[in-house]
Amino acid sequence: MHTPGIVYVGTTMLLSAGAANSQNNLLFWAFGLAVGGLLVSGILSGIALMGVGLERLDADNASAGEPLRIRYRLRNRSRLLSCRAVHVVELPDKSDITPAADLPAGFADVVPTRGSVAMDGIGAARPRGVVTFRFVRVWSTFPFGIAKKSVTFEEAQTIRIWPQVWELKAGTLTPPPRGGERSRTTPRLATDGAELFALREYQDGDPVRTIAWRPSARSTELLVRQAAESTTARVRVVLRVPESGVEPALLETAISLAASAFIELERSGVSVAFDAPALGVHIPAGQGRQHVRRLLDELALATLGARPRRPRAESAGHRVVVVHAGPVDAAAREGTHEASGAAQHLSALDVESLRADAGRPAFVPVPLRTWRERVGEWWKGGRA
Amino acid sequence: MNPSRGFSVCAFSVMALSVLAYALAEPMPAFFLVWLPLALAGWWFSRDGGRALPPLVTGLLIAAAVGFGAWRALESHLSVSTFSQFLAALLVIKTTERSSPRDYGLMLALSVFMCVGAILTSNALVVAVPVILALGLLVLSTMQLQVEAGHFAQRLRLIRLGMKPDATPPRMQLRLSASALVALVLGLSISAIVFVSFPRGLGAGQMSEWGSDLLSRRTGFTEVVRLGLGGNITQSQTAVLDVRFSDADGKPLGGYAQQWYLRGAALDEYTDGSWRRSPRQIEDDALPEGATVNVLESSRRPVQLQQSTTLRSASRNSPVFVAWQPVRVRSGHSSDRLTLTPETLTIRREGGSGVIAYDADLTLPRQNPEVEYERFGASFDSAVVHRHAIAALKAAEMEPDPEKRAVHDDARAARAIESYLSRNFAYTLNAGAAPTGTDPIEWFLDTRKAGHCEYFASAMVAMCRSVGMDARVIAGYVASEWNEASNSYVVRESNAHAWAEVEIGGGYWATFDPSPQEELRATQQGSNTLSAWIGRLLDDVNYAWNREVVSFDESRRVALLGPDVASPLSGNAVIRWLAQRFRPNADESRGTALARGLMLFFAVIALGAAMVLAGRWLARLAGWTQRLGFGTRTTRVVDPWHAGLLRALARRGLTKPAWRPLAMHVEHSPLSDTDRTLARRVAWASYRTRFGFGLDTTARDQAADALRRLERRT
Repeated sequence: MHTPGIVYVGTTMLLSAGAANSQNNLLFWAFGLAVGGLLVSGILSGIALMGVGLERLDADNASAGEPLRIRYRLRNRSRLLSCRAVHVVELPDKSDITPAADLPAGFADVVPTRGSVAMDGIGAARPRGVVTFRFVRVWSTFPFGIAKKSVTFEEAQTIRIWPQVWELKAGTLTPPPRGGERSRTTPRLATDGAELFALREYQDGDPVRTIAWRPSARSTELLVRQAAESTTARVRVVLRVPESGVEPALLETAISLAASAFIELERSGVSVAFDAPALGVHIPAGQGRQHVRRLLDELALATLGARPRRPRAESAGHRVVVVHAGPVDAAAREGTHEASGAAQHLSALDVESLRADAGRPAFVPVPLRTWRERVGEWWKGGRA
Repeated sequence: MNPSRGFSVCAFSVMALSVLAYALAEPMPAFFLVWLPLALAGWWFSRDGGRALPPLVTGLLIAAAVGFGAWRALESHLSVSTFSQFLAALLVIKTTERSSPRDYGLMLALSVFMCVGAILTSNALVVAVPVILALGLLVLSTMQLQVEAGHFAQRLRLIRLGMKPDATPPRMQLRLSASALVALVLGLSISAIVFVSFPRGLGAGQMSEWGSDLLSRRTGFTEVVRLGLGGNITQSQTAVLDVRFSDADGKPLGGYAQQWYLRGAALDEYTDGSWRRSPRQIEDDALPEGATVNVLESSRRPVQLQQSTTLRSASRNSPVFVAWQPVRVRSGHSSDRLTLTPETLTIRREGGSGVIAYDADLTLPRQNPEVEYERFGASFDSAVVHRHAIAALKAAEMEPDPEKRAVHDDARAARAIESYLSRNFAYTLNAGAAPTGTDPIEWFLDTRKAGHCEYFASAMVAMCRSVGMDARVIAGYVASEWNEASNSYVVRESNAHAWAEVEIGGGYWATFDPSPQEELRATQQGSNTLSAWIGRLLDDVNYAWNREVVSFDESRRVALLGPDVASPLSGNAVIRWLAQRFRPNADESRGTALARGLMLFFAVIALGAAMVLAGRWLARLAGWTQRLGFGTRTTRVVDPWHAGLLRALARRGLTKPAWRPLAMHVEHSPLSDTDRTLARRVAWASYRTRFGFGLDTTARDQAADALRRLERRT
């Protein structure tokens, strides 16, 4: 029973008292109607929900602060009653004190009898990390909004929340000219427009799009195309965290700035590598959506204090973009192998001047609160 | 909020019908005519789903409405009428603001309260029809509101997240009609059961007049006849009561040519041009309480006529209209108290208001041999009246002096006076008032020589008294409009009438009507036009409504449900005990009654809350919430591992045959050792979930990871 239902029951009792007091037969009838409405509301929505099943179809990975979309399929096994005005909402995990997301919720007009309907639940991802949805509730107040009936399903699903990515102002990053700095290592895998060098056996980590399907079909092994030479420039993005420590919010900003720089460079056709020694993240040079996804997946799970990893030797010839989770001063530059050369230094402290969409809120809006929470806040505020 | 057109029309119709019902109940049709254009204007200007007025103006209007309501409440008293008008004002203001489903919900809720206000004001069929129509549309619009609210919430969520919602989300308005119909039929069925089974009489009058229809309209009948000031001469066609006559065996009596005089009040004191009940009548004898009261001893007075009456809009204190002398009276309301004036044999009832039904067993008036006929001397001191009385008797060749006239000639003398008046005086409804300082009866007899029934009855009573016969004016109705379909008479306000009763024997009062009968019939009988025919048809429906629904009482309830319901072992005995226990004391103040009422009200609420809590606790104990799906937390386990593993294997071309168990399929599929280990883990998780063993957090995470890796390695 929710608030309108409680008001309804109160009104019904008032009607019954009025009818009994006055012996007014139309009031008796009105009281009967009120009782009828209550029963019909409870019975219809209860029976309709009993036939409903729910399945999570898939969920898009989301960036922190961005909408999180989960797709559901609702099925109605009932032959008689279609289920109407159905709300689906993810429930918070009770053990999770600070929920990782504004819980996704969706709405469907109707789930027809013996039929199904697909619907989207929209929420918002809050911090970077992993969010696990376990319980999902289907509820409805149909037909009269008096009784709120619900069925809760248990189905675990884990979603990685990538760091927030911003569009950087034009000219913030200066990518090296194409073909300027060539690879001195082994020929890279064939990409768009690359000249074919040879076919070789598939190895773990090779992008799927490099697989040579027809030759593989004629062979007994899976073959991939290998380009004769790299036609793209290479840049390495490095995330530096001061050894003295960093505030969590500033670290998140730095991670987002590094990811943004990474994606910006990748979009401009540069082969990008990523190093974040303090987070234990190393992504070899590469291009394409899978490459970006790999970076975001790694960053989603990265935590400070992971075992530091030294950058690989291959990064020595890359142009470097260093993102500092702190001020860019001599101390920050000193001792880093990017200190010399044409390294570009960006600071998380200057993020507002670097973002193209600086006016947009950097994080999720205030979550919806229940009236109890509002009253609690008001009470605390009033007492303070 | 930008709802569908169907929902908008439906919601507005509910509002309009509820206000119409109230306006008809009041009755104030002009109220609705003023309200409607205002509401339409507000609705039109807020058609884009927003505010038609700035919030400050809306706030000021609401404050004005509250102030007006408070002023009206202080000026008169807090009544249903005041509250309903306040609600109507709020409804108009709300039409200018339609920005969220909550606004619509509030409008619909206010409409419901308006309907309740209309019911409290009047139980007439003309009120019930718009209420029923509003109810049907209310069901439909409430259902639509659930859908609109869902779309609105989703839209709001998308906007809050910076996404662009669909301009016009797909809707399914038309399909709701069937659902609404089913819900309406179910609701009406349940309401009929509650209506019939709810015991009548429980807690009646505990909370003062709360819930009563307080309007107690004027019926055209008044108990004080003020000559020349209107009163009983109204020509209103408003139906006042329905009455049916039958003989002692239950055979219906009546017809187009037959009319019945329904006695209401006997007015025996004349002062300053007015007839009223004498003070000795005011001290009525209270009849024993109960649904049926014996007025006369039935053994001595056989029942010769049965009369069933339904007063359509009775006040709390009204006469019991009967055609002859009452032997027994059976009231539909157990809370009614009847009082008898033995001298005039008139009965009054005090109790509920609104539609009141009662049945009466009657007998013809006759001379009581035990009462000695005692003749009065001339008791009306007026030379003019006396002169006319002498003229009337002389014309009939009778002795005007009561000392010289034989006792058994009194009936003939009264008849002579009646004849004298009806022949020599004209009947008119526009008699006007007597000049100041002039006695109205003398003015009628000597100057005007025309008048309505009050003048004729007054003149006859005065003339009879002036020649030594005791007489009194009787105010009541003449039932003359026969309705063959229902074997009953419809009595309207225009049928209000006054006539005379003259004592012509020991305790025997005979009825005399000196009004010219031709003119009287022409005034009182309805016309035969089409509109009159339609009016009579509606009267039939109205009669059935009042008789079967509005005046449904405990005796009918018991008759319908059978005597078992009323047996001492049933809950009815407890209810009756409670009713006796909580019967209001006539001496207690209204404040005390209100306090007791409030205590009762909160006790009922507390009892209801306790029952709900106990029910929940029991249901939780029994696990009913899970079994029946009615609980707020019914968990149904869904196995995601099975489908995921099958999907991962199918991508590798390892589709599972339907006959093969999942675990066996994993073991027999050509997988690498790593993949087989991962697949085994997922299959194990699937079995654990499916067969109710559950998974702890670690196992669940491991299975999820294994499934993810399997899918990635595909």
